[in-house]
Amino acid sequence: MIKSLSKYWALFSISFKQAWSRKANLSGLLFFLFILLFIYNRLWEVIGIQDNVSGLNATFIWYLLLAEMIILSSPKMERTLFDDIQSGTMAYYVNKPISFFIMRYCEGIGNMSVSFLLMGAFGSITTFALTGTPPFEWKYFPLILLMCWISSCINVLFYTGIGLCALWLNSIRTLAMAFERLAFIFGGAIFPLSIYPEWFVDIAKWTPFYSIYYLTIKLVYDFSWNNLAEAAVLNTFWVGLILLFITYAYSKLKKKVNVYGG
Amino acid sequence: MTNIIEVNQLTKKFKLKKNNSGLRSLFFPEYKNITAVDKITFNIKKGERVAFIGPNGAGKSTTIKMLSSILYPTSGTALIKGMIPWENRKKIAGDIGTVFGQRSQLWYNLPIQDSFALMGKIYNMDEIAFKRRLSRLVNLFEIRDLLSHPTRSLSLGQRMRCEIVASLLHKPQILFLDEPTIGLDVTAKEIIRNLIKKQALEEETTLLLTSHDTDDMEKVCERVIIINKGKIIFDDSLDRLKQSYLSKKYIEITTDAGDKIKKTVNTKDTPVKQALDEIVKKYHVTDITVENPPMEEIIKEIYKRD
Amino acid sequence: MFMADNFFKMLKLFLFVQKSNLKTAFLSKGDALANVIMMTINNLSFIFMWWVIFQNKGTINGWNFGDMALLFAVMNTAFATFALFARGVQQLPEFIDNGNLDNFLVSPRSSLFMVSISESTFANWGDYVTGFLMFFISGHVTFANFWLFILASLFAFIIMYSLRVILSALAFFASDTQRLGDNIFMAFLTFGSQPASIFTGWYKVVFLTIIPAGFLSLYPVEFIKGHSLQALLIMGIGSIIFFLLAVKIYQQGLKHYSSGNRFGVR
Repeated sequence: MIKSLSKYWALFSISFKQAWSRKANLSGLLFFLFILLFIYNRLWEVIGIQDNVSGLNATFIWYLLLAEMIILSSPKMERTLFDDIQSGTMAYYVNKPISFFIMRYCEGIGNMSVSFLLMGAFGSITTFALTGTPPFEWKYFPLILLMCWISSCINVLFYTGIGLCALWLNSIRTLAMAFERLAFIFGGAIFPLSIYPEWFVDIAKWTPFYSIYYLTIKLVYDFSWNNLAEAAVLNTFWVGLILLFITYAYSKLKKKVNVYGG
Repeated sequence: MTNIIEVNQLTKKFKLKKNNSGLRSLFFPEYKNITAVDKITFNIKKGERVAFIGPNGAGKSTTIKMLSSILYPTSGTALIKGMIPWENRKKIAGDIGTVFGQRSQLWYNLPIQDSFALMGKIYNMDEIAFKRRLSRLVNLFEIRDLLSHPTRSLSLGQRMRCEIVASLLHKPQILFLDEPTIGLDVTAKEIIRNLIKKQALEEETTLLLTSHDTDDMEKVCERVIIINKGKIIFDDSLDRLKQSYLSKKYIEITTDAGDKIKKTVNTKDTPVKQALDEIVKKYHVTDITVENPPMEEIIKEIYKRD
Repeated sequence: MFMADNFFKMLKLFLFVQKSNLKTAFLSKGDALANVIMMTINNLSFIFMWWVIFQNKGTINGWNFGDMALLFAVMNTAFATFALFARGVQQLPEFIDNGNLDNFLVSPRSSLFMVSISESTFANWGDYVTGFLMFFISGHVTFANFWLFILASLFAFIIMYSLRVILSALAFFASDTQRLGDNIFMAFLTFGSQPASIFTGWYKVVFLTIIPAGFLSLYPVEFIKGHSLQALLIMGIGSIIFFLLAVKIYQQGLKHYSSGNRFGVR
């Protein structure tokens, strides 16, 4: 048990290091984050939606930062997995003493964590400079960050699941894009759900995006132990569901691997 | 006969980043210059079949890529039919064909014939000429049965035959082949070599073939240029090379008792046939292989004599 | 004469490649159609979000939802053109790093042209659907405006394409630039899909010159809605300058091309 855990820890840390060394890559990411924060800060200054949601004025940019940290830190896992499956690379791992799927997932988490941490540091400075205010509830901020990191891990898991759809689809680009768009909208990752009409929020509640993104990120301006518990419980439910799907797809895949590899 | 390829003092240096970590290297990266090709000079006549061989990293591919207009040299010149390739990219494209063993110019998911049709369009061939040309090559390379298959379903050997046909469709006068047999098994290698030679003889194509496999040059070419660390260390006919450096053969036999015995034969003193006869008489042979000395050894030998 | 002849040959080649692309896409028809529909829904859901904002606010610094619809019309049409007919340029950094550019360089046609048409994503036909739909709901539908919309989309496409060429050509000069280029391109598109009116004063200068996103949002809307000749001139001249710059940078880059040898000499 300990041994196999250390195996995956090693995978995590090696991909962490590798991602850390890709500076051009990371600077592009930070540039994009900066542009997003800049644009939406500007938009917010112009339209100021504070009349809809109490206290969401300057805090909105903090909210946006956390949302982008979760969504943008995802390391395109779906593409890696898709290529692995279609090229037959996966077949080479069948006889190795390691679960292929968990291996890729750990690498993904390693990658994601680098982006997440960097965006967190750089984004906090930028947001502070733009808005001049620290996030509300300073003392809970580390805890909120942890919750967001967990949401990021779940996010990566979802994209890994999308990659597994290579079983049925010739291309997963559009599917991944659709997932991202839905996350932006149902997860309230550009504008908080509170600006949308009520019927829309009711639909959003039935999607995984609601708890993984919105409820988690919302803690930054609306922290309570109740809200935190709600997000955690719902997240656990969705993780269970996606794991069920992944286990099913993965077992199918193992049988099919020869066909692809041939 | 005139020279179709002229190379004079051709040199290519690459910059390599030294180390890749630390903040310092991000802003002040250190570079180290590597001379891949070092002032090489040679000429090739029309219709010649030349092998360009050497160990990995000798500069073979880099040279071929400069001649086929892909890379700009650091210094020196080269002329293909009197034109500098990297300055006349589109003009010389019709005169040269290129096959890169590790790259593919065929569309992965489409049937082979679609890729061929695209090549015809790219090279502006008219419909009738294209069909005639294709049918000739298809027969020569025996790929009629493969035409309707997508590239991904072909074996490496079959794919290589199609790659070569794709490069020959526009009837180039010069064909550059970069490691055309890499990764192939012995039988597939043999087939490819025979086909390349047959085509070159029939159409008087000038061949420049790189390889690190000495068998490739022996089966296909008449002239050999050996390059090592970017410099030409041998340039003469295949016969000369055979006489002076390829005179050794390694024979390995397995006896029915399971013993492996290695023998070295100098063909100047003993013909291979005689050596084999003696071995067969002496042992109960179950398996036998005859091999040329590997590239590294020939190079060592050349340096020794100079 | 030679130019016209050359252009005609390029066009023939272009059409042939597009035919092959369609063939590849239709290898599985259901997949192709599902992708187009999914892409359309994608776009519409994004536009829905903006519709909600405008419902709440009415106008944003003078822009109403009709203006925003025009922006999305031009943006989606230009992007569809890019993704369907020139997307290959996005793969250029990869071709440069692994040396696959070789195959394009030995061809008798412009290598940039060949690279550009080498990839096409069928799903982006959905962007055309979105683009035309947005034009027709924008409230600015006249026969003349339709052609202005097409013209503006063409200029927007040229700007988009040129910027992408420049970003991709970075790979000639430095390693590992694929995602850097992707991110800057995405930032450009994000800039271009905001109501241009939120940028005023210095913001406007930065937003129009440093990142030419005004060519996607501000000028097309001024041109189609206000029939502004000035906007037309700026778009026309701007896109030509950007295109020439992109070609120049690409050609300079080729001199630095190392055919996959950067990480080790072969």
